[in-house]
Amino acid sequence: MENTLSITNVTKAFGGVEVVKNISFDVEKGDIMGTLGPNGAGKSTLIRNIMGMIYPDKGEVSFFLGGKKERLPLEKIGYLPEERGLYKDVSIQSIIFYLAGLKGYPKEKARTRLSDYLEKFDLKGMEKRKIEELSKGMAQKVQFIGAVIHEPEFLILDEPFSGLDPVSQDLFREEIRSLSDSGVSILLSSHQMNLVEALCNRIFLINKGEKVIYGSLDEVKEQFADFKCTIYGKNPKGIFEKLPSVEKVESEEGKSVIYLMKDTNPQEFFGQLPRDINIKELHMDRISLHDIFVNIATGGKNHGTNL
Amino acid sequence: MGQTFKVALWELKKNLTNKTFLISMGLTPLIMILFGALPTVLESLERNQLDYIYVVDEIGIYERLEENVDSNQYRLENYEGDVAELEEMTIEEERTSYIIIDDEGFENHSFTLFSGDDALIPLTGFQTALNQTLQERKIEEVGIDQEMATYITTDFSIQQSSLLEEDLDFLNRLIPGVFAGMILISVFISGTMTFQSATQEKRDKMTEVLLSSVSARDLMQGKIIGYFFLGLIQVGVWAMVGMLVATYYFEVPVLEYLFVSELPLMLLYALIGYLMFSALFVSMGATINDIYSAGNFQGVLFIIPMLPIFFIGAIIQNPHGIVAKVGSYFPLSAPGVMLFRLVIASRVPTMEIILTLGILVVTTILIMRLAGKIFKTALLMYGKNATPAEIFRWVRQK
Repeated sequence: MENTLSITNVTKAFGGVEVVKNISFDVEKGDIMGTLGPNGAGKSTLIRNIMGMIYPDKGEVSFFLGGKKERLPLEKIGYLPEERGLYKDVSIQSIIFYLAGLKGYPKEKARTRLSDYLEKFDLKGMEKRKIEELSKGMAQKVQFIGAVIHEPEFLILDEPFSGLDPVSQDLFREEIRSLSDSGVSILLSSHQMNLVEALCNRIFLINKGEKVIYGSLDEVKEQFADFKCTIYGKNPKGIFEKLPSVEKVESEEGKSVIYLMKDTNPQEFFGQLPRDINIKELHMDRISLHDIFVNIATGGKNHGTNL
Repeated sequence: MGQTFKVALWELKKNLTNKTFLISMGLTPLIMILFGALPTVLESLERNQLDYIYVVDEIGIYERLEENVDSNQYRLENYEGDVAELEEMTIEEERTSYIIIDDEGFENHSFTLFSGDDALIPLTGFQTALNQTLQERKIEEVGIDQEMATYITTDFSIQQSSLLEEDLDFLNRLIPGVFAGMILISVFISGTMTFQSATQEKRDKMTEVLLSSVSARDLMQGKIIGYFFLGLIQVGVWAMVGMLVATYYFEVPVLEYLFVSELPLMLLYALIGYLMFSALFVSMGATINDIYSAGNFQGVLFIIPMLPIFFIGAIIQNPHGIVAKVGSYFPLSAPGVMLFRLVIASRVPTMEIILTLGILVVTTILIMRLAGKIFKTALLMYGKNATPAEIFRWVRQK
């Protein structure tokens, strides 16, 4: 696959503290790459480095759009920042035409595309409405249109789903998938793990400025998504903790969640379970991306894994 | 440069379609005319009122005094009754006074006008008439003939004229000066608008969206240029109204006086002043998260363009004095001070013009560079106003 973005050993420090440390990854054409990490992990700093709003102290950011290496072809990049906002006292149409104009996109094409998107996002006929007259969700849709109006080849979406109702989330998810299918490379940062899991084909997990996991979603799941067993019934926590294949146990009134050690076979675990435990209900699942994220964010896994 | 003009055009269009801006642009000259004309109209109404003076004449000069006094300004009445009653009458009636002209006052060369009102009446016209009457009386007493007396007592006058004065008509410099001054006022207003525009972008959280399409430098330059043209449109409207009022009301042919050789120089000072202050304002606007909680540090900035006002008295007294020169060489006051000097002085030395322009250009380039650094970093900082220490640190960044 051909690379569209290449980040090589990027480091950025503020006031002597390294906020992003030696980060490297690539985004391929048509990729939906998820960048994940807890608050303050360095995601926004990384994105601002990519967008040329701040410059890395070390390392290089290169785009390969249209077959050649470029530092920052802004007209080919769409960006939806985490800090949402639009001019309040201007119409949807004015602001979208202004943003399209700044990207060098023809006004007539922008008009057609705007009309299509407004219809798709259930905002038909609202071209002349002022932003201050829109609900938060509607304004977010307008901002999304602003990010894609110029048919970008590369799209950076920072928390695109935050604040959206489930219907709008589905709408955005479909649109992101359709953009990816048409060959747009997407770098997506989000906290909604279920959406990342459903959308991204590759992920990059960052914590405290450092790479934690980088690879395809399937590989990550295979590597990190070990089994967890949930048992409903009153049992002392210690019964499970002393079993050889158990990594940790989370226990609350009438429920125990038992995380198994890497590469543990579920049958092997069932064989170790004492006969006298109380089981009202039992589930055996692979742990989700959410669990992996929480586990890593709270320091449960080793850092720096390439898959 | 293309992106700069797109931003400039947007700022221009955004404001020109904003009702608040259009109303304030139209109302400003009307308010100025109203406030300029109102005191004059009221004063003229006051001036046209007559002042009544009762004269208690004990030395027999009343008839001559009445002849000498301006009857459009004073109405005299010879009073021969009781002075206590006169005093009461004076208090009761409006704009009324009385004076006792007796031998004692004549000997001492001093009289008192008793007024029954809080407002004192304008005395000059009456005093001149009384002086003339009493002098005539004295001349008669010493037996000098009236013609001879006029010959002796006619006043001499002095007019002042500078040898450097090339053009005798002061309006030739005043009108272009007023025009350039209007541009300077507009500099301040537009500068304030660039400040607000940067603050608004942060408040509306538009910064990152814009920076994903244009560089911080293009954004800043676009704002400066956009508001410059907005300022010009504003001045144009005001100048047109001013010209109409001056031409048709005061009958001053403004256009004839406006296009003089000093005008381009005055405009140059105003333009450089604008670039310098707007760069300063736009960058400081970016350091503020919320205009209502802006610190004193940023507030002080707005005083800077007012600096020339502190120099104005001294410049009028001596347009080439030390104060004028200090004000001319200090870059932040130079545009305003040089405008004043070009209006007031008959000629400002060429070397001083070259030097002050040089200092201004260098300072403006420097400020624009520093402003660019501050603007770029400050725009991405949310949630708090930047402190002076932070701003200083950004300036030192490479």
